[in-house]
Amino acid sequence: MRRINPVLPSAIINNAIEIDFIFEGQQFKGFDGDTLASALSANDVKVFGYSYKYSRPRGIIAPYAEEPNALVSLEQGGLYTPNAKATQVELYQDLIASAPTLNPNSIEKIKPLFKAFHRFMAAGFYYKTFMRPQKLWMLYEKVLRSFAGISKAPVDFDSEHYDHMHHNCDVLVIGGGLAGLTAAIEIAKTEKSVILLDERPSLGGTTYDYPDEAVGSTNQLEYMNNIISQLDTYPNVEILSRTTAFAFHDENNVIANEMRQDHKPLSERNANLSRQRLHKIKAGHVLLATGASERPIAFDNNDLPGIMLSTAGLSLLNRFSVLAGEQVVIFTNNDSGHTAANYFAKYSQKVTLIDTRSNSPDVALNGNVRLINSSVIIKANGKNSVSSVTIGERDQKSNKNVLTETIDADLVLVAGGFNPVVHLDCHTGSNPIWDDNLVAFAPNLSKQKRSGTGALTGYIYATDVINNAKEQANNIINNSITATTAQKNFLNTDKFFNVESFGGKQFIDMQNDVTTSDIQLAIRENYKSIEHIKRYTALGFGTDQGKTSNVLGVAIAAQSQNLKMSEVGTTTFRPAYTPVTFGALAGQHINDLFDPERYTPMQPSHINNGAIFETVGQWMRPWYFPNNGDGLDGAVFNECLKTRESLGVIDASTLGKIEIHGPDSREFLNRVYTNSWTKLAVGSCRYGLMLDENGMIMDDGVTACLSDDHFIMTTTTGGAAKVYQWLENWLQTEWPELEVYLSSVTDHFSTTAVVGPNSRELMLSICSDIDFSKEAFPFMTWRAGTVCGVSARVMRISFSGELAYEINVQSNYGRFVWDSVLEKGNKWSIVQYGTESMHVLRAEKGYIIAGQDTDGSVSPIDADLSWVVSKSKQFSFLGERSLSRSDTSRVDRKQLVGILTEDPSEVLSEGAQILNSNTNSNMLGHVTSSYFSPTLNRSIAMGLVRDGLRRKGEKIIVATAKGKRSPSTIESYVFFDPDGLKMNGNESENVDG
Amino acid sequence: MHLEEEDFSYSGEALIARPNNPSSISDDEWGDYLFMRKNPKGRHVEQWQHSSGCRKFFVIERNTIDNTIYSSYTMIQASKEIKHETN
Ligand SMILES: [Zn+2]
Repeated sequence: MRRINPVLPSAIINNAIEIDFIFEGQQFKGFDGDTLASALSANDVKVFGYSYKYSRPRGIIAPYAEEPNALVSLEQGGLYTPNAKATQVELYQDLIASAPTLNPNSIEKIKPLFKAFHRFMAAGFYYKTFMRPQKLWMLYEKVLRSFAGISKAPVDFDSEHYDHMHHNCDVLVIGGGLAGLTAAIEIAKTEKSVILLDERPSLGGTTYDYPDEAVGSTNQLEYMNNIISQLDTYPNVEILSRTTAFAFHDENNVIANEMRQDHKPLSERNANLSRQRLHKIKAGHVLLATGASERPIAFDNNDLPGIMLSTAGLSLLNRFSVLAGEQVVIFTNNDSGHTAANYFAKYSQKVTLIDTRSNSPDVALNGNVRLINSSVIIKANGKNSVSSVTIGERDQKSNKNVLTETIDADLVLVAGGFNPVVHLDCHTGSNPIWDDNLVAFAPNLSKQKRSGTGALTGYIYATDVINNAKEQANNIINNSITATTAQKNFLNTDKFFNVESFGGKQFIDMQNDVTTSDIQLAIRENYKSIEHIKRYTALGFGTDQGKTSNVLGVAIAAQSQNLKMSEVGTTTFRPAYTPVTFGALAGQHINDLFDPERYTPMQPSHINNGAIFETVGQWMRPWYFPNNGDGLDGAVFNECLKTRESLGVIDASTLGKIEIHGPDSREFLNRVYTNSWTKLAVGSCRYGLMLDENGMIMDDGVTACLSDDHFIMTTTTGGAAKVYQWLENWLQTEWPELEVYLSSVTDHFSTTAVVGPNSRELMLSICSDIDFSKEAFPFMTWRAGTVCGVSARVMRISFSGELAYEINVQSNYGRFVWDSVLEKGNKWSIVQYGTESMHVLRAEKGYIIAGQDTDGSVSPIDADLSWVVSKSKQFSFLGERSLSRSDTSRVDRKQLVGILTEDPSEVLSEGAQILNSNTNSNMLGHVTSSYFSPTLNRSIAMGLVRDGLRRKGEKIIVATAKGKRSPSTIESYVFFDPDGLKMNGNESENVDG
Repeated sequence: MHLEEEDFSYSGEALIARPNNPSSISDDEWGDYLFMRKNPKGRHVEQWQHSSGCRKFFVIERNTIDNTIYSSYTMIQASKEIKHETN
């Protein structure tokens, strides 16, 4: 292989700018405009890797995105990119690339190991292996992974960043070749907004590869350059190059990925720009101009380096000025081989054109071309690359070939016909249709507001393409879409896909080493559907998704079963058209921006006070405060005991808060909660239980009556958004007659909860305008006043079983009040506590956590909360009717109970299974909450147990995953102060306020 | 101009009326209201919420095969204009 000098006028390289790069540790030179593949080819590198099953040398076979063999890894560390196709990698100064399967040392090392596996590795290897004892898979996997023929997965964090952009346009044109450009400019004249996407760095599609083709008095390259310069003058046209439309979703939503910096030297990459940008485009109309890609013809040893598609050879020659061989053999079944022969004959004295057809087209051939009709390549010969081909004459009837001669060759171009790039059209669920005229699967194009043009619909020659593109553009402008495909034979293609084997290996899918005989074996083993053949042989499973191999596979399946191509059909084309890095899909939604983190106003104080945080929903909440270097257990012990002995404080600002306004607020609460709100007095609070319509607990919390038509509801921290939406839904869709207004005020108020026997004393020291006497301010009421000089609502409610007050102030004052309480509380040795101690304190007292002790299958009766359910409300509250359904009213449902272990020091695992102690089996339920209680100096747990309410006092076994069995007893789940004496400040009072 | 789908949340089949007097209907009838949905392949009248916008619930008719949206209604329009077929 060599670079043609002077550089061909059609070439996009600039030989005035030399580029140094490293491939496999070796220094090379290329030119500006080269791809890694073209530069290496110019340096006579032919082998890009070894195939994964048979370890055979492999070279480039395709011009661009279809390439199955030449997979490379780029750069290192945070810039590492696996599995790039060398044919798509733009060369830049100091590029470092390696071929993952090329390292001769590693190949030599594992080759002998691998030989032993050959007999397993016929088609169906994966299926058969999985069906064998699974243990063996582990053994195979190790060997397979190292042979997979693809790059290692990245291990370092991606050091570049990505973003997303949304667009709306009237017309989206996908493909910037002659067809797409011609249509785009026609549409642009109407002032419709147009976006044109093209995956390559330079617009023009394959015009560079066939530069001589005439358009009127000029050639297509000049014609195309003229359009591009005109397009620049239209402000209603946006052109995105290096942008691959990889997914086409319903309603003309197209997702495309733009490579913004991958082509730049590392030193010139701008850290402020995204590396790649994902474009989400919603188009009024989509015009597909995605072209067609060439397919090979299978023959023995067709994988030898030096054998490539004719389009790959033409791309190297005309686009990059690289002559890929001197002794050229072209094997064709259609007219395009003749065109290729003429291009090569300009630079090579010896071009042999082997045509499967007996009649050749009306194409004048260059004198250097020797045409052999009705013939095939029976096999290729050579060791590390092709050195000759053996030719045979084809008997059209028997399909047998008679060996005729052997021809020296260092470049074999295969022109097996063209496959329209139907992928995007198929993403929305339509299947391509086999077209006997085109000898290819044609796009369906049956969806609304979509059409196709150019080679995608069977137009190949420039004048035909231009006419069709103009016609399709006018159809869009006039809103009169009619799908058309070329009626004449696509390049007079012969329906010829593979040569009868001469005993060697004929490769269909090069990346997965799938041969003709593998497909035949699959069919013999009764895997006849193309979808089964694909999974059995791994045909089309690679990073190239079988772009060069699928149609060949279908053809062989059709031949073997005497079916028509249309009867075999294709496998399903799914996004992505070409691989997309996860970074592009994630965009900016990573790290801190993955999900918002919410902080209460007290957060800076929590950090100063050394809190360890945990995530609750989106909130960051103090988990515990390890003051003296205590771990979790030590801190919780201290926090719980000191709170119960004297005084604790917790930041409860994260609880959801919803204001409910309007004359029908009480009626609304009656409908969404299980208990009655009719008589709740202004100044009082009540615990409410919210059920879904299945009668299952959804959320709970305390609601305060601020005035007759104004309430404030609290929800669980994690349930706030869901509850708010639930309430909105009922108001808007079912009860529009209720005059009720909701506003979410979670962030508007912050809550400092002071807890413990000395909380009243503390309140007296920071608030002088509220009467804190038991008579004036009883449990489950709230009072307005001034706390630490700040206007506040103080609620006497408790989530710990202690006397407690929750101070609600406008958020801006939250941290001030918190800090003041800590300071004033010193007198009573105040301790701040986090969510872990909160959980322990509430579990000691037997308060449930909706979402932990319940899971959407627990009714209030199951949770032993019947006391919250009113039986006398007029309106059938949400979920009420379901409580009397036969299954919900069953008495032997799983019910929430307390569990005490025989060994008081043993803390059960949450989620552990609960078994019948007589049988030591029979699963009865599981543990939902479990802690060590410092107050009771023993472990406590709650769990859902079948028929649990009737089993109190019964022995059970709690089983852990590691096989441990813990004898335990079922108890009431109120472990601490069941009569509520402490919470009420040593006076007897009904918990139900 | 189009708004992104991710600004909206799906909220199931539309116009499922809550029975007026749940306590007077049978378990089967209540079960129908709770669980029975059309789940068609094709045109489907369904409720959505503009959750990252004005928070309004509304009704659209959408094709479940290819996501074509034929029409949209406010809740009031929907209750008046779409005849609710009883199963
Ligand atoms: Zn809205």
